[in-house]
Amino acid sequence: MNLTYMFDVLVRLLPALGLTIALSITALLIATPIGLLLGSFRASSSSSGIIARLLDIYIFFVRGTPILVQIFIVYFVLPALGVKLALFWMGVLALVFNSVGYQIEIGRAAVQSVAKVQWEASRALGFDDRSTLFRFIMPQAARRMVGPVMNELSQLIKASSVLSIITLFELHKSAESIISADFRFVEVLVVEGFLYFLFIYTLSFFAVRLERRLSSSDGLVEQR
Amino acid sequence: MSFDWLSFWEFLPRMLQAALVTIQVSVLAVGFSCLLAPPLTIIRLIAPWPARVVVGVFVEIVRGIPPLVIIAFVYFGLPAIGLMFDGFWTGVVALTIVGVAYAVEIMRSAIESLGRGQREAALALGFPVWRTYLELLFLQALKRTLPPLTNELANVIKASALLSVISVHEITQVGNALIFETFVVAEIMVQMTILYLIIVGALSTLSRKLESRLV
Amino acid sequence: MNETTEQIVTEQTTPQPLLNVTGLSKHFCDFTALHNIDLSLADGERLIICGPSGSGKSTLIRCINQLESPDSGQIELQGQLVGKAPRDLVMLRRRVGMVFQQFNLFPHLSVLDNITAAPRKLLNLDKAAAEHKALELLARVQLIDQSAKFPAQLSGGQQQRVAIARALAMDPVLMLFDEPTSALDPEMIREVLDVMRELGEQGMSMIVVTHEMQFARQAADRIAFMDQGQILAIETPEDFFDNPSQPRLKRFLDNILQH
Repeated sequence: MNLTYMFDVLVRLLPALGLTIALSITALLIATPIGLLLGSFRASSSSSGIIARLLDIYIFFVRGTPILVQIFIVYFVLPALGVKLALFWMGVLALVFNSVGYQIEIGRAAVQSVAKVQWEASRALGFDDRSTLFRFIMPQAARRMVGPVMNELSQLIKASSVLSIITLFELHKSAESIISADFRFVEVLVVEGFLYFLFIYTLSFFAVRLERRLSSSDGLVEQR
Repeated sequence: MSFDWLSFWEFLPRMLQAALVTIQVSVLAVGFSCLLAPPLTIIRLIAPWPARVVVGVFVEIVRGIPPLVIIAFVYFGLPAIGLMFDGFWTGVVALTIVGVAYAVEIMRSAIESLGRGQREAALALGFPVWRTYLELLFLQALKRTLPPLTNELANVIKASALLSVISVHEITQVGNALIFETFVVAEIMVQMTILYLIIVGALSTLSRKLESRLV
Repeated sequence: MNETTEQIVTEQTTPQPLLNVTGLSKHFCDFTALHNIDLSLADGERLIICGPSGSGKSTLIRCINQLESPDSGQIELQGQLVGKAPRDLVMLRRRVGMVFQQFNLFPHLSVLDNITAAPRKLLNLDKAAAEHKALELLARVQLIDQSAKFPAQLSGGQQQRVAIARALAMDPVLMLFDEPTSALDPEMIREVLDVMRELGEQGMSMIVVTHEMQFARQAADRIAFMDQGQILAIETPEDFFDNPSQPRLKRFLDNILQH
């Protein structure tokens, strides 16, 4: 294992790493607010409304199919419908589509975990339900989402690797092309793995820490 | 835009065969994972320091990188150490590695969630440490591992789609090939989607039934 | 069989102590839980240990069966030094029984299986013999008709009695009790203490960590008072309660005997 070569590969992969991060963070920034909104909707309305049903079908679909299939749907179906998107945005769209499916649940759980007494206190003061939700509940829910959302970001980084299949030159695709040029798969894969691991593990690690810290600072002991 | 039913029925047999491959690969991978995970979990929990660290690092690394990288590793690595597997078995190996890492993590946290008391009672009676874990704690933790393990099986089924990059003839690979051959897009995508939803959905229902039986 | 013995055995005619602990110390980070403890227990003797929280009482008995591993000192059981190897620890624990504050029964096993698990798996007793013995023990703790139930179906007092039977099934030479009644509803304390008292009267050597002072007065051969990791006093019940030698002990007794 030639360390000089590996360092060289690392440098060559940095732009691609940048693309991976850009894809993941963009997708996260779009998907998280949507998840929180739809999640709080899911948490507070009745479970038999039409929109609630539609959301359930959507979630069932997103969780029941591989992300590659979802990427293909965006990749093939959109042009067929006449929509022309740059490859980057197709990738982001697919990631958002997937992430929202999971973040609805995160948002829903976060909203539901805000203690009932908050609702009661606000109503007792005279606020209607809509104001309560936006003024008091969602801010508190957002705090509780930080941990799971960090975890979701690390999942998105993993998922972004699948975009290599539609020839988006993110980290995995770039590493692949270096391997097919130089044939030194061990060193390249180790560098690639190291870069992914750095981000994914660090995110998960802090996600767990944050989750614990934020849930205990409310003064309410939550059973995990 | 009308739905091309002719093509739909024409391609269905091949897609169903591909579905079979998807199921085979996934079941084999999960099967091997479930066999390998308990001993690895025990090592992770109570073996002497070096072994514990090795297993722990393995689990963290595999969980911390995208499955595609693992697949690439196995794809290039197996021939390099002299094992010339065909695509199918390469896929099984790759999915097993991923599955084992997650399974060990699931089992470890299930056992740790049991709390100290059980362990101490067994030790106080004179059970050696390894027997305590194997014969008493594992059994109890089993129930707690079922929901996350089912989730894991669903993940493996979804990850099998990634094996299309190493030409395993599962659903995504076959569907994709058909799309490129025939330019029939929507109908094949519908087939792919429905097949995955059925496989994953059937799994969830089965496991829910299993869970309620065991509780 | 309940003879009181000198703390330190010097005479040839006095039998060897069942348990002899010397120089036991244990630290947790920078906190010293046990300071150089010396203790010996005669065969058939019943020792009660009491003291304020954090005095090291639980740590001491958990060191005796090595659930905690002492930093220094040695333990002799029946004249043999207890080694540090895993094999030695396992053998030690088969001869010493422990009853926990939280009962710690195996929830997935029935009462009968809870009691027979260890004898069958560790002593290789066959099923029939193990069950026969288990039923005898259940009769002793007054729970003969609960053998098929699961722990979740029993009250706290019943679970603890099953736990005692489970420990007895291994034919220990010494029984350790770590605050056995502290997690029980007041109404159920008595049934467990009665079982323990009977056990002692039948000759079992036991060390009990407890706050139950009535029980101590009635059932103990000696009572030890611990504070801040040391044994400050170890007396017969009469001397302990009526003639406390240590001021700290006196304070303790004054506080807890208010009710």
